[in-house]
Amino acid sequence: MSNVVDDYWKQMVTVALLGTDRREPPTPPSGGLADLAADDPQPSPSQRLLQQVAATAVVRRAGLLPGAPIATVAPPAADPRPITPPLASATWRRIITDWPVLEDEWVLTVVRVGRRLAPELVSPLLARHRTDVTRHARALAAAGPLGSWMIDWSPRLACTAKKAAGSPSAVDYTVEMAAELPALPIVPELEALLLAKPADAARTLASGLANAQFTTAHRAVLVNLLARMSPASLPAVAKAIDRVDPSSPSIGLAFALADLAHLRHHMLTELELA
Amino acid sequence: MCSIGGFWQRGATQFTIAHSPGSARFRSPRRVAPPEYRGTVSDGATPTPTPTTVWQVEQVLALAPKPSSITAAQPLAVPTRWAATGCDGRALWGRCTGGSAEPYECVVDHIGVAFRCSCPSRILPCKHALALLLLWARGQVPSGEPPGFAATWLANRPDPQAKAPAQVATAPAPDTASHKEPAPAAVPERDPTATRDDRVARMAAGLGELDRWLEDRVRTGLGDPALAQYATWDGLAARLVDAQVGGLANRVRRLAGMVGAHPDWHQHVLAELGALHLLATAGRQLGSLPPGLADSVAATIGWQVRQADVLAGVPHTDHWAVMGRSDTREDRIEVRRIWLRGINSGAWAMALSFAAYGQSLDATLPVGSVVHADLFRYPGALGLRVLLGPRHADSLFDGGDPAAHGVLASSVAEACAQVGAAIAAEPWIERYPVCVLAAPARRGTRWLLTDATGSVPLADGVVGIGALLACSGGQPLVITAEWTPYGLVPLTAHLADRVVDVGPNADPSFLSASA
Repeated sequence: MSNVVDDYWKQMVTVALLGTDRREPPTPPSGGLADLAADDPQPSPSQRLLQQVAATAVVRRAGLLPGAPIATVAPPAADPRPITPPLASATWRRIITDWPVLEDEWVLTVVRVGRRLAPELVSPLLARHRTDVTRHARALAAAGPLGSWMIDWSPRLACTAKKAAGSPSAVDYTVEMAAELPALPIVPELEALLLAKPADAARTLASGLANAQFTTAHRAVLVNLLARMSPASLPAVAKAIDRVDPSSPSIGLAFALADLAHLRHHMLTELELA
Repeated sequence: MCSIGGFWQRGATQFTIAHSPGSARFRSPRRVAPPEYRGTVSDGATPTPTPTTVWQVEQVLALAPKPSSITAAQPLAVPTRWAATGCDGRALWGRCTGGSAEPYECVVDHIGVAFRCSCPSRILPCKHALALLLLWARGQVPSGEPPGFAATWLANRPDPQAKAPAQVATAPAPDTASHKEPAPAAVPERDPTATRDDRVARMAAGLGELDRWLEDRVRTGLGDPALAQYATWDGLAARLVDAQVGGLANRVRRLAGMVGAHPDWHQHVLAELGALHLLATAGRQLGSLPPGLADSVAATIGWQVRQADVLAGVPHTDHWAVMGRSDTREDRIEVRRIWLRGINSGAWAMALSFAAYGQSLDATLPVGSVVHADLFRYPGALGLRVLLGPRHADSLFDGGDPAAHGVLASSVAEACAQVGAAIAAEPWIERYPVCVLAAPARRGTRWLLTDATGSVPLADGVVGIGALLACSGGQPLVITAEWTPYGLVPLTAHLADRVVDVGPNADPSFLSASA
């Protein structure tokens, strides 16, 4: 954009701020703007200003020119780990919306299998856990150098919680540590199902739902159970719960638990390295 | 189609042909004159049309304001689309069934060469009139008595017998008749229905009031404390809604939110006042604007185009890559813009969807998918807005780099040139899509996109910069963005194995289900 038009625009902004009652519009610079004023003369100062404002604004926008190239930002350190697959990003969004109980396992699985976070998840994951030292450290471990690099550029992604003594940092998260899931409260009567054979676990849960032994009052403990059950049991459990008689009073709970089992199985499967 | 300009010109049909012989929009059959004129002149007597004098197809084609009108008319020129057709020595008429609930009532005066159709098209003759003429030319319109809607209109038109002396007086020789305009018609009488004329008058009055209001603003200055009060803007917006220029009312309400919102708000508001002045001026001169530009002005100021009329147009078939998504709140609705790009044509298109409180936005076109479909473009100079027609295959979602489909990214300089050309075509546009290969970079506190050809700033406070930066890792990548007067808004990062939607999202608390 030429300086002449820019200067003219600034003069018009000044006049518009003051009002044409107090100051006359500036004379347009020679060229198209002056030709317009001559070809279509306006009777009042306010009309003259509006005409010139309209024309100059269009000239400035249509004459958009790029600025000089600038230096790009230095890239983060290389991270050789394979990236999480595209569909895993959608799964993570579904987890935080529908089944947040699975999120810890999702992040830890990314670290455990030796993947790194997809770039589109780095900012939201760090921002989401910026008030939780442990989870923020896990997210950083999953994000790798890109996570620290993003915090450099966007300090709001840094952890704001005060680090307690003994809290892990990102570099502490080894594959072995990531294999240990945080404990969830599960009633003793159901603990045996955690390690039961898949068929037995599936049968017990399905029959409990079918005969209304499990009701919505047990939802929290059943969710915790499915979130920590052996991954090998998930397909059988999901299949058995899917078959619960639709006329059962607990069919709503059965649908929800089946969805959880399917999602957890899907999540773990898609994160595994081929 | 239906916009204000068309209705002004519709109201003036009878005299437009007569008084504007050079008008490109209302070409009467100059290339091949209707038989009536030739016969009349050769006899040197009063024109006496006969029922047996039927136009030739070529004469009908010569009436079309543009080739696409005939393309649109052809599918309608079949008897199954028409009811109550008939003709006599002066006119032909019929009811065309289309996409709307009510059939369009169409009458053509083939002596005075004038048209009346209840469709909202702003193009004259509309496709229905052309289709009716084509039917007639093919001998598929029976003789009969005009029904009420045709008789009323014809009764209010000048009697062709009465204007005969004038025709004779100015009549050319037979051989040259085809190069001359028909003789001037008498002073037109107002259509008795006049509903649309009333609307045109209201809109013109509203545009005039808007212009006076703008003058008051620059007369008293942008420092006027009244500008900081929402009521100042809302009152004007309400009056514009009353005047049926709702498109401008939306712009005025958006302006209210710009006052004091940015250190440079004076510049932003002033530029927008200029755009409003431009639209207010253009909106009162629709009849003298080129057709595409007039359509754009009419749509921008708020004239609605029926979907059925858009869908009756010529489709643009391609494999359309869904390049980006942008949600914005406008007054009390969420607006979703989906930017599509033809893989074969490279053309841009925009599909809009709207959601009021508690409703959901359309989520059938996820970013990264490719849909093989017909798109129907709304009229306009740029013609960006489209309706999605029939899909020829299921959507593909390969989520990859658009370059894999042949959609090439531009340099920053090329993108600026594309935006400039678009603004030159429609100076009041507020958004335009670009696809660039560039890297995000920062100068001071401002983020930009840069490559070897230059840099362009991103809009302040764009939500997607974090994801965009993470996707780029400081390296160039293919980015789809929306140009706005305040900077680029990144919408999509195209990576080798995925597309990342970084566009602004609708407020999920406003919608029942955020897509």
